[in-house]
Amino acid sequence: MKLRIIFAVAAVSVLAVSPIARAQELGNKWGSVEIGGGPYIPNIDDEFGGTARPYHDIFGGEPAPMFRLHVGKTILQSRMLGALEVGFKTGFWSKSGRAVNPDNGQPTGDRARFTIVPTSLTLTYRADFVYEQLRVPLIPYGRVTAERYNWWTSKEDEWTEKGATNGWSATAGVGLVIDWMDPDAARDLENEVGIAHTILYFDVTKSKVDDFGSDESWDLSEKNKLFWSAGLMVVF
Amino acid sequence: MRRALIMLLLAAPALAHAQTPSAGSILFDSQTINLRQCLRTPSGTGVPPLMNELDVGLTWTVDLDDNVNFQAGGRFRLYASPAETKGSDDEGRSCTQPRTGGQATPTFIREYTGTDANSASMLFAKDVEMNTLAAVVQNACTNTSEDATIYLCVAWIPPNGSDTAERGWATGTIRLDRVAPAPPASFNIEPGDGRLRITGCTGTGAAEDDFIAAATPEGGGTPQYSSRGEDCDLRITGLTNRANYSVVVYRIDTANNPSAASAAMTGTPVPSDDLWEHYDGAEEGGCNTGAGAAGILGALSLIAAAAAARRRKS
Repeated sequence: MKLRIIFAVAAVSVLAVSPIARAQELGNKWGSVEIGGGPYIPNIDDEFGGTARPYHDIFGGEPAPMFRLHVGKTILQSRMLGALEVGFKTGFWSKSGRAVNPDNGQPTGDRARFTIVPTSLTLTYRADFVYEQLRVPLIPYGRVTAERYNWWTSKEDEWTEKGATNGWSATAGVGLVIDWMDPDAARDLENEVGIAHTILYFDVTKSKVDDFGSDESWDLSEKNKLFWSAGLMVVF
Repeated sequence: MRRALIMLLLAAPALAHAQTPSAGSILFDSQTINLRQCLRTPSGTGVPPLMNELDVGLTWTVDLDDNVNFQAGGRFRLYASPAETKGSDDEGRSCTQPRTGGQATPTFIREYTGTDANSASMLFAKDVEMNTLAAVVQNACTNTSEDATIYLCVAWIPPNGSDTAERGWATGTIRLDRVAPAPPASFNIEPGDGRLRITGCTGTGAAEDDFIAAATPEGGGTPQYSSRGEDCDLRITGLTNRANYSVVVYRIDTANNPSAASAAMTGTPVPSDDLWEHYDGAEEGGCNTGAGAAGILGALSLIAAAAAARRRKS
């Protein structure tokens, strides 16, 4: 009986210690920071089905760049499965145009501006093992996000309205690990600054930012169905 | 001790300067006198109303006679002239005589004594009236076809010296800019909500010129002026929508001389909608600015539903 207990305790100890040992072997990544952006047009006109184009009337059809900054904290990591991060993402987007005459819809001399500061909570899975185990310098990743777009409109630099619209998004992307270009420099970065990987990323996002279909909200989802962005990601 | 050394180091350049009377020059806080300053028109009056300093501050460093040391307690005498004085000659220097025979005799403006005369250099004079300086030029404020130069000369008189016992000199010039720029030949008006936007001024002028626009109700009334703009992109605000206004634009040169008014154009302010107003007009109800809480509740509901589904599967 006593021998069984000893074996049981030993087995549990081995199982418990094993993940810790693996994490130590992997170097315990802290998380990641990424900065990037892509072209964005809000889907405000869609709800009118072509009968009105309030956004297009003022700002036209050209997109404006949305800049994003994301910070993720690793919550799970495995040599064979990759890393899971929770994170926070913010950014900035702004577009200017001409206010229109309500009598005839013609542009006036008044400046109009629409500004969005998105804030997002993210859950990201990143397949680090593709590079770390298979030595292929491409790391796929996926992300689901709870979005909150804080926005305000202005005319001649005076606020006319402000608010926030909530939604969600899903992202799929791939990162090109540039560590392999100069392994010595990559090693120095890891030893001196703690940067495990430097990655150029490209991703596409499907978003739905319309207060979950509320009739009282406008639709700030990307007009072109998919929002693409590119930038730099650093894994610590 | 360390503080004293630092103070000494900081003061060294000024001390060195004070001990080395150099070129004998006069500096001004304004290099030009414009026509309104010449006429001593109060600031904020005239068409268009402009802000104009009516006095000029002078700072000078006198160049002492070779055989003379500066002494406190003397006097500085300021002269102005439409022609160069002998204050900058190599020999026989004098602020009271023209450099070339036949020219007008320099005009005595004012004298500075007491604390003003305790240093040979970097002395800041009391403000001098610009119209007094300009008056030394013939037809100073009536000849508006050409600019003129006013020559200034400061003479230092040692203590107990007579008015002509000059032993130090400083000279300088100031420009009487009395030629108004040409008005804009044309411009564009874009109507806005209670305002008019003026752009695209054409015509002859310097790149450094500024612009001001004015809108007067057709049928009479008080003109409304735009802010002064470095570029011809001006906004006249405080106007009534759907009322007609006569709009003119003035060009302002670097001396602050305004042009005559441009040819008038008619502008009519109109109401305007920005995105929110235009969206709201397109669909009553619009966006719910208080949707944040409802949205978060929606997100939480989604998460809860997903968790319930997972529990059902397991």
